[in-house]
Amino acid sequence: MKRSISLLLCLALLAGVFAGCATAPAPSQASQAPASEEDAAPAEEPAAQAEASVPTGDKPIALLIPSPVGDPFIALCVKGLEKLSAETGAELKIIETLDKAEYEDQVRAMAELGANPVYCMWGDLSELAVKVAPEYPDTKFILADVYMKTNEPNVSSISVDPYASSFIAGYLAANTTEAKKVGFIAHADRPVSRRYRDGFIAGVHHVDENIPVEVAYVGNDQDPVKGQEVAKLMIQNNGVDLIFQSASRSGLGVIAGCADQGIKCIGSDDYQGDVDPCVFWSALKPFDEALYVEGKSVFDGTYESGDKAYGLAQGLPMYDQRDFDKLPKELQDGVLEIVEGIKNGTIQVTEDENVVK
Amino acid sequence: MLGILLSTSTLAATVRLSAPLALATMGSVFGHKAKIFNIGLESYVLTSAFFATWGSYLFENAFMGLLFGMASGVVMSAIFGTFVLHFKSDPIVVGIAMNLSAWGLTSLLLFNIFHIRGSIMDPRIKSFGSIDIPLLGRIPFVGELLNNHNILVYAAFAVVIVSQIVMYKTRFGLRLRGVGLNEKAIQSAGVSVTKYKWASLIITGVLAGAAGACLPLSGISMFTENMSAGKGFLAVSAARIGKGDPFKAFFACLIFAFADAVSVGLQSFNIPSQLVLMTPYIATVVVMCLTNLDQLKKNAV
Repeated sequence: MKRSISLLLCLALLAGVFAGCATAPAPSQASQAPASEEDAAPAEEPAAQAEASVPTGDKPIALLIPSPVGDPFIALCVKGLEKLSAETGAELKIIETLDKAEYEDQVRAMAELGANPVYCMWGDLSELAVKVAPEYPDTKFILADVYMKTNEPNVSSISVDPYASSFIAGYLAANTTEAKKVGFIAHADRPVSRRYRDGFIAGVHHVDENIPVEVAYVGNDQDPVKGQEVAKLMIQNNGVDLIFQSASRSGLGVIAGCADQGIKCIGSDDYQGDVDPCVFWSALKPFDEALYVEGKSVFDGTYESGDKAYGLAQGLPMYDQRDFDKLPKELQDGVLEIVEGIKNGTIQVTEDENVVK
Repeated sequence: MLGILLSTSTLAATVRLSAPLALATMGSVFGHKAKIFNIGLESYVLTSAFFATWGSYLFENAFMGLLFGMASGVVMSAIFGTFVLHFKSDPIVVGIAMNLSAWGLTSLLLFNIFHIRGSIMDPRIKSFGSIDIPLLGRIPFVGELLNNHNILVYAAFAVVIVSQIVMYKTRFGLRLRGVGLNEKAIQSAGVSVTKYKWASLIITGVLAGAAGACLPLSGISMFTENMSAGKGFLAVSAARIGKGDPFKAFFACLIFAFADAVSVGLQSFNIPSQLVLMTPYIATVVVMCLTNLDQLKKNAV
């Protein structure tokens, strides 16, 4: 009896293994299917490792990320790189390095594979890329979303400051709130989140110094249940009637909480008006464009190493046209005025970091 | 300050947050009494959260979601039981293996079923609506606290009470506790140990499955990877703190949920958020220590 059960279980396991093999190539054939993440999925870790020894004809573009593709910000980056991939014909390889121990191996594997450029997302991966870079002088390493000074000739780090777009969001929030109280929710008190926060507060106070901005952190970037509770509590305890969220996947819960309580919400990073109608504005962090422009320079041969900040000055969008079109006329003018002001320096968005409380 | 900490909204959030914890904990309590150490509860919660989302998506009905969630919990229990009870594997090893594979499994299914990575939001996924109980709403403080929650929250309270009754007032409960206390003795009394262990596992599966269904179906109407965020582990520790007693374990749940809710309110004051967000974990450690104090005394000779 036991033997037959164990045999059956083994068979089931084997069937599972083969089923896994069968489903893997399917998505790549059906890459025209709706979701944009679709194309990204086939290039997961195992596939990449298996192909690492196989030289591909064209040099692929590699994107190393320490977080799964489902993260809204990562999805935005993938969007930019897919555009680059479609234009240059180079295959896009996305490596989810979820385990810190494999960071260095994965960076090396991509360089060995001849991927060019190699994008490394966020600090930990970037530090390793800087260390590995001198060994692969022909490979261009692009460190994404970090503020890092590098001297290597083949390493550039790019950042997009959310100050300007958060400032605009703050301007709109101050003009939209009726309770004269607004909130800001991020996933953790980190330098990246503080930039959204400070830009937002500066924007709110640009309109009216007396509007208080409540700040709260979820403490976890992938817990929408908690995100929803944080939003609800902030609304009920502090009486805010508008929340600006920059809390990654927990932020989706924040949006749900705002929708539940019937208040307005401002999204971040990507256009989030499609998540729920209560999101009337999204403060963009147009990283897709920045990654695209930087990668394009590698293919054009105009690549330069160094620390680069992309933003309004490079003509990157700070808001989505869909949101802009829905605004009343006077707010539209106000937004354009602010954009102009930030561009020519009459409006200072980078206020003192200690502006909060 | 105390006003915000003990405000009705904070306490109402405590009630909401305690529901999935309480359900999973009651599941764990039955396992605890039958002496099955089921650390795999986290995987139950995560997979059933996914299947609840799927069920709700397929039928556009939250109750079908709940049913799917509970069914997947039972399947997880069946896997766990097959390995632990029939093949005599180490329950910790099996539990850890299940926890590790649950994330991968749900991500794989998410991609194969919805063709999407990371998180699924769809208008077809229906949540449980909040229930307005006419008489309860009129009582000033208690009304705000207990009214307008979804049905799973009330179900969780009911389950706690029923668990207490089943555990201490029925023949089933008595025998189940007997299985945990002394297998040989209960066997010689003519009770099938395996049968009772299986029964406790099925109960764990159903309740942990309902706990998983709470996560996507109580308002946010979405599934994201790893959305269980340690609730299964918390439930296991709550059951152990309560030493398998449903009421005591539920009390531990309330403490965890309150610490979670209060960590939001505390941020309104000039306390660094990093410090404030530690409260749920500090609460866990403190409660663990306090409950084991008397045991330390007993062991000292």
